[in-house]
Amino acid sequence: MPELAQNRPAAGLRADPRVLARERRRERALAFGVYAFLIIVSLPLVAGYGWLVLNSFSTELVHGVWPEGFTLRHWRFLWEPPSDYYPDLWRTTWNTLWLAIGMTVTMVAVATPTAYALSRMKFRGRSLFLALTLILHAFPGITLLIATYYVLRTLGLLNSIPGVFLVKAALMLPLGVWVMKGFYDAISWDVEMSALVDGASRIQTWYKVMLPQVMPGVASISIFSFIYGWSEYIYVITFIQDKNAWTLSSYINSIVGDYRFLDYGLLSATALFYIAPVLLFFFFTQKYLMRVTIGGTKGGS
Amino acid sequence: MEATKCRFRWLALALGAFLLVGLGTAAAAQEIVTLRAWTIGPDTPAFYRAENLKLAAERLNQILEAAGADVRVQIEADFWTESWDSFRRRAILAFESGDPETIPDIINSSHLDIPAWAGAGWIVPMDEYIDRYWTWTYQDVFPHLWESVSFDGKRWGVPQDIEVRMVFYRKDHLRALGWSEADIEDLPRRVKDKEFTLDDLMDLGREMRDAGLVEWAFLHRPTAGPDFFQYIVAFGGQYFDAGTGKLVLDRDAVLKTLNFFSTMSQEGLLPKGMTSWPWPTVHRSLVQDETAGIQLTGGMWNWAEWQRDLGVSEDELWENIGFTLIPAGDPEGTPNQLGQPQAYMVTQASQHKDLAALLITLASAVDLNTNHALEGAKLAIRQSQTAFPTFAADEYLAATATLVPDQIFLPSHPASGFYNTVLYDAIGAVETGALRPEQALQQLERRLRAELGDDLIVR
Repeated sequence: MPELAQNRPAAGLRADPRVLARERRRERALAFGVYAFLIIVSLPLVAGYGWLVLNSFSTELVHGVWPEGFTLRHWRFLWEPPSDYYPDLWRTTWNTLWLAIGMTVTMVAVATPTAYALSRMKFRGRSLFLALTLILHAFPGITLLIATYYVLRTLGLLNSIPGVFLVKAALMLPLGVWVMKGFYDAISWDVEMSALVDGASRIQTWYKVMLPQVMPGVASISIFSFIYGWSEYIYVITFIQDKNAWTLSSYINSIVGDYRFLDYGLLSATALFYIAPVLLFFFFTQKYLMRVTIGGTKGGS
Repeated sequence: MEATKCRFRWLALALGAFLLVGLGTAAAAQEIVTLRAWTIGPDTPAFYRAENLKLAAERLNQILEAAGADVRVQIEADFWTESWDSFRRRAILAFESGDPETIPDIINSSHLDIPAWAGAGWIVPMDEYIDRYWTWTYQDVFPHLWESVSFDGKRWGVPQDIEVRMVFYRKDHLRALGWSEADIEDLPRRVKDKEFTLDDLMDLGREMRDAGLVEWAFLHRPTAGPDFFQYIVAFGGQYFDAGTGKLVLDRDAVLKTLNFFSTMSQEGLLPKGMTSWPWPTVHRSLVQDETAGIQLTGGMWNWAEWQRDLGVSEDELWENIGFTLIPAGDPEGTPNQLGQPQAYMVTQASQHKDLAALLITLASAVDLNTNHALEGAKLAIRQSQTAFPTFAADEYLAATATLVPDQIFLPSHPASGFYNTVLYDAIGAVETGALRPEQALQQLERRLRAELGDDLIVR
């Protein structure tokens, strides 16, 4: 090892500036490479969003890319529907919000206590239950479409937003339960035992001691649920026939159609209107999402 | 005398309407009966399918007011412009729900839906209503249209329109190839008299391509549709046996049809991926960009779409676009065009069937249906419409009406839609080169046999 020892600057000694410069150049080159790669792979996405913005504010896009003339004409759907046969936009937006919030509340309300029970309690059939939730998650939701249609019909929940978010939440619950279980598993038993020894009941222990510690998990499944609910399409068009109960995804689908002479400006504007809340939501909550791993939290939560 | 008759009819109508809805609500304050109707384009100019029901409701309310009835009718008419698939999915899901709050009172759709919907008990026979209002309205509906809405010996709908599906071609490309104006104007007659066949059409496409006039000589619809049955008939085949009421697979004619589309694709006259083109591109290529020469599966309503949605003037269309029957494919074949009537139907779940039928009757008035014909480029459903001034003055409707004697229909058979789909799949397969025509025919036959069993005649 003497050669290595010679090449390395001894601790506490000033480093060779040439070596440091070479290291910096290498790091810069590496960073440049990483950034270049990330920019190249994300360029199509950014270009897609850029095209939406340009298209929605331009009178025309020359050769499909170069904007010509500024206009707000494509945003007229905010105050007048594209035709007499479209539902009110703001009602549709409210329906979408109702679906997203309903799904979020259902997911949190069910997944949080369920995951606690699965993580901390021993009862017969626990392993089987866990396995079954995984199997349920393995089913593509689309295969259950007809069955769930008849269930909703029996329950009188067709044509209603709660019908959609109950089905959607039910199919997403395995994921929520497993994510939350990971968060609970990461909490030391000692914390819970202290509370129990001090005389707290199980419910109190869960509510007052455990729940505050898994809030990042609750935030994560809330964000996921909200985004999934906001963007839901297939269940909406299957379970809802009344245009007054449409959500924004069915509204935009109607603008696209497959027969119409598509107004790309209008489509771009409505698409931006649709994704803007999700982007904003994501912008403010991404720090919680970054903490999620299947095993619980990451970093110092 | 005529005026007296007319007054009498209005009086009878008013009385009928009054009896229909007024008596049941006696002593009540003015009651609003709300009816819901679902209609479909999907072509946007066909919006009068919904608007005419609203106008009919206005007329009915005037009558009710004149008769002193305490009832008014309100109609929530929806017009669908997405796609046939999504409309039918929506309708079927609504019917399956069994919920009268979800199911509309009136539904407007293709006559092809009647066998399946009637068989499922989702719509009601309309013979009683048609007979009731026969002298007012229905006596001069073209008789063949009643056949299109009949199934199992009953009439399940009221014809709402009828159209012509045909070949569109660019006249300017013919001029560029040296055709005289007289030759161009004479082409539809030559097609009708079998002097110009599908072979000649193929040669014409080759000439257009070789002269560099077009990128694609031929285009066709990029979605499944009944139009392709026209080619089976053009090659001398049949797809339905009226005697037995069974669907027919005419192997020889279907093979010729598949060969026809396969050859065009193999020679680069038609895009191999035609079945995945978007509709607007098909229209733009023919009418705006002029990169295509011939649309093999056009519909007369395209004329209205090109003006309304693409902004092409009618003068420009007359100058550059011609139309004709589907030419015969061989000596046994028949030049033809297919019509697919749409119909208003009353649903089983409706709580106001009588009122719904009355509204449909009022919406079938000559002037209202003519609004639809003019705006949506559709043909008349009633004899008296052809003499109605605005209808009679329309040059395009008059020209397309000359093609009516050569009209064919798809049969009222529950599996017509399925046949439609498998034929389209076979055409798509030979165009992409995935299957040879013989293989595609075998696959088509297998699928038809599996679906229809003994209900299929193979020749």
